[in-house]
Amino acid sequence: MVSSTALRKVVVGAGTAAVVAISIITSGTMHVGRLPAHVLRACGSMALFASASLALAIHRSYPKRHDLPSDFSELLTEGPYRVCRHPFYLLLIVAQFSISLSMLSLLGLLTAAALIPLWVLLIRLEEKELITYWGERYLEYMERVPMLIPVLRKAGKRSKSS
Amino acid sequence: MASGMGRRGGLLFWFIIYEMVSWLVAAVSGFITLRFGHARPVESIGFIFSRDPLNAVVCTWLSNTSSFFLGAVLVIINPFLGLLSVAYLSLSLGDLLASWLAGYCPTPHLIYGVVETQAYVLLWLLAVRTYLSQRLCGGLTCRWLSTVSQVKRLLPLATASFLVLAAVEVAEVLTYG
Repeated sequence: MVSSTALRKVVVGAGTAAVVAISIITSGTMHVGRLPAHVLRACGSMALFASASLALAIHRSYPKRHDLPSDFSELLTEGPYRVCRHPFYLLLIVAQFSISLSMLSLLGLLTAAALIPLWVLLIRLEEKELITYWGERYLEYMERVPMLIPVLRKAGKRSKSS
Repeated sequence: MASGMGRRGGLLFWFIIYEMVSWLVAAVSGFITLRFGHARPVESIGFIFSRDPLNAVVCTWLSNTSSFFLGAVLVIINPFLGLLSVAYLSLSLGDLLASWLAGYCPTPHLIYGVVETQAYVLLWLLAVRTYLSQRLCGGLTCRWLSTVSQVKRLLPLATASFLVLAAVEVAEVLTYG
């Protein structure tokens, strides 16, 4: 069984490095017109800046060691953790897509997309550890806050209630 | 946070460092191009003349916006990395300077180039401010809220600034080009 720490290194470290490298190497391979290319580059770079800034705001709040749930003195449920349970990962996923878009790299986009199942697997593994460590508190938090994408949860709730 | 701005490592410190690097790189690269390379006519002037004004404004605007935000990513990771963005940007100013000294670039375009470089540097300093506030904030919520508000401010401000600059550049090239 893969540990979440090892998988995190693969997905967050190697995965992001791979997307960045592939995007740079295959930069400009997405063939669209001149104006759409400018629009995609601008949107991609704006999204990259926003997601990187917000991801860094979260990461700079983590303790130096943050591999295990026991490295945290409290369960994070405030700020971005009110919106979804894994805001740091969500922002990294957005950043991976944004960098590929800003470099107009089709292969970069495909790599970022190919990594999504690994992100989901990583989150599932982490959540198992979080449930074991925080117990009922984490289960209650899971009830209240969606895993990754806030909109889907709200839409789901609305359809259930209707 | 305000008390941190004047100290070493504060906003004023980074302003001075960025300005120094910007002028130094522009002067050195301009000199090297003029002395050892060959100064060429400015590409942006040819680009603007080759298309209709509205298209030129939009392309210049979007191109500058994406360059700015890609550079700002380095700044937000660490302002020292941001020096790479400043240095890279200043290489274009160096080219412009060499081109002006060789008589290929009209003076108004050189002035525009200086203004544009200053706009980049000043807007990147806003990203430095976001970095500094992230460092100075005590907890996650403070860090998150301050970053959200500063990103919300910087996105429209930079986009609008580069739109105005693009319009000014195209008007300046069409008038004095």
